[in-house]
Amino acid sequence: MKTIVFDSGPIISLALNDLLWILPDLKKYYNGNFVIPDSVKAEVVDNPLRTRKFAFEAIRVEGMITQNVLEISRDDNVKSQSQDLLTLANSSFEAHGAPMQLVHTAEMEAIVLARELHADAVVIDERTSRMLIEAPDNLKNLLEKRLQTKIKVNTSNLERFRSLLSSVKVIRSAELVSIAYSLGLLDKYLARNGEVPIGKKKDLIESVLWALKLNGCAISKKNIDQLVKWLLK
Amino acid sequence: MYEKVCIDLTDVLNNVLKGLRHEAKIDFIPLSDHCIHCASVFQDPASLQVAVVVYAIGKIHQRIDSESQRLKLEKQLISLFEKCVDHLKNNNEKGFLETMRKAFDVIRVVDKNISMFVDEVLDKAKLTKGIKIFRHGISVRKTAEILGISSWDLMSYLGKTQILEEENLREDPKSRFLYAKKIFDVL
Repeated sequence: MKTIVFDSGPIISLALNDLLWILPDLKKYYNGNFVIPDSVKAEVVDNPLRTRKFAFEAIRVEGMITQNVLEISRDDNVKSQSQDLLTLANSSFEAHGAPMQLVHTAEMEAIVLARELHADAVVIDERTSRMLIEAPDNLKNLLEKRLQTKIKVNTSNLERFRSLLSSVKVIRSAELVSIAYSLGLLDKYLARNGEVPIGKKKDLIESVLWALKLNGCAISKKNIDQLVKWLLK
Repeated sequence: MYEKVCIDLTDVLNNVLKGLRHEAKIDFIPLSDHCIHCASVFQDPASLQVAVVVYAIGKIHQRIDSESQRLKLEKQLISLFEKCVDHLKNNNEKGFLETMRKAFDVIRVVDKNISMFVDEVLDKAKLTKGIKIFRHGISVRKTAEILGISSWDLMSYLGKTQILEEENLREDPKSRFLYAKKIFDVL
């Protein structure tokens, strides 16, 4: 069965922008499973339900779970492999002789789950996890620039980390929303008497991508402009 | 405690003490930022506590209208921070953290008129420091864990900053976009 795994970031981005409703339609179109590890569920439902600030968003995410739009995976094997990968990731870069703890165990769980399920993609909005998988050299440069400190790379750990995740492909909530736009799912925001004013479509996709960015999706202004251009072609 | 952390925190607290004793004009906010370097690398609670407390002092100090209240706060903080410096000298991390906690309490009850503001400042301090830690390359969730805040808060705050514009992520957005279209079978 085709699968896409979700990290917490994209769910948070979609929930904060009241865009969770696109998921059922996207899933239908994808004709596969949307899966989250239970650690992600804890972060997007259980924890915020204990607060007032994001409880309403959490209820809406919970609704996606009860409707089986998002399925929860509880897999001890994934948990144990995530710990191993976490150790590799958090011992790959050193500053001042100390290993830098860059990522959290729950971030690893979504990635490992994607690998174990042979998922088409894992949806991650978070910059550091994405860089670790796709461009660890960039991460080293970022750390050196920001910390103004020489970063020592444990090459064997990093290589092992990368080889274990070489099959994992990453997309972001920005791509999901772009697909929703391509499928005409967002037209309802514009439709007037059944007609969609063509001139407004650029405003629509631009504003939705900016809304995601403003709620934490790691996407640059330049990248938004590019996506808008490609989508309007 | 790491030696570098001890040295940096001693330096920061000595400067804070100079400011509180009016021996020099000290801007507390940059001092708070200085702790973030250690907080990002070593992720030690001591650096984080100092970063948050010093930021809060920077924001609150000038808001206290009553001269006597301000002098009282300065006196209490001077005494506590002197103890903290001693704890650092003796590498007594436990004593240091306990004393810093007392500093938090002192700030919280400083003035009834600004107690709401203090809570807001402490929350804001965590988010502000969180953004700085994220800027240093630590992931959102790890940063949230370090500071005891939620990813929801951090993500919505992060999006309003310019951090991601400052970074040249050197990604291949076109491939990502085309791949997304491929898996959804969108032509």
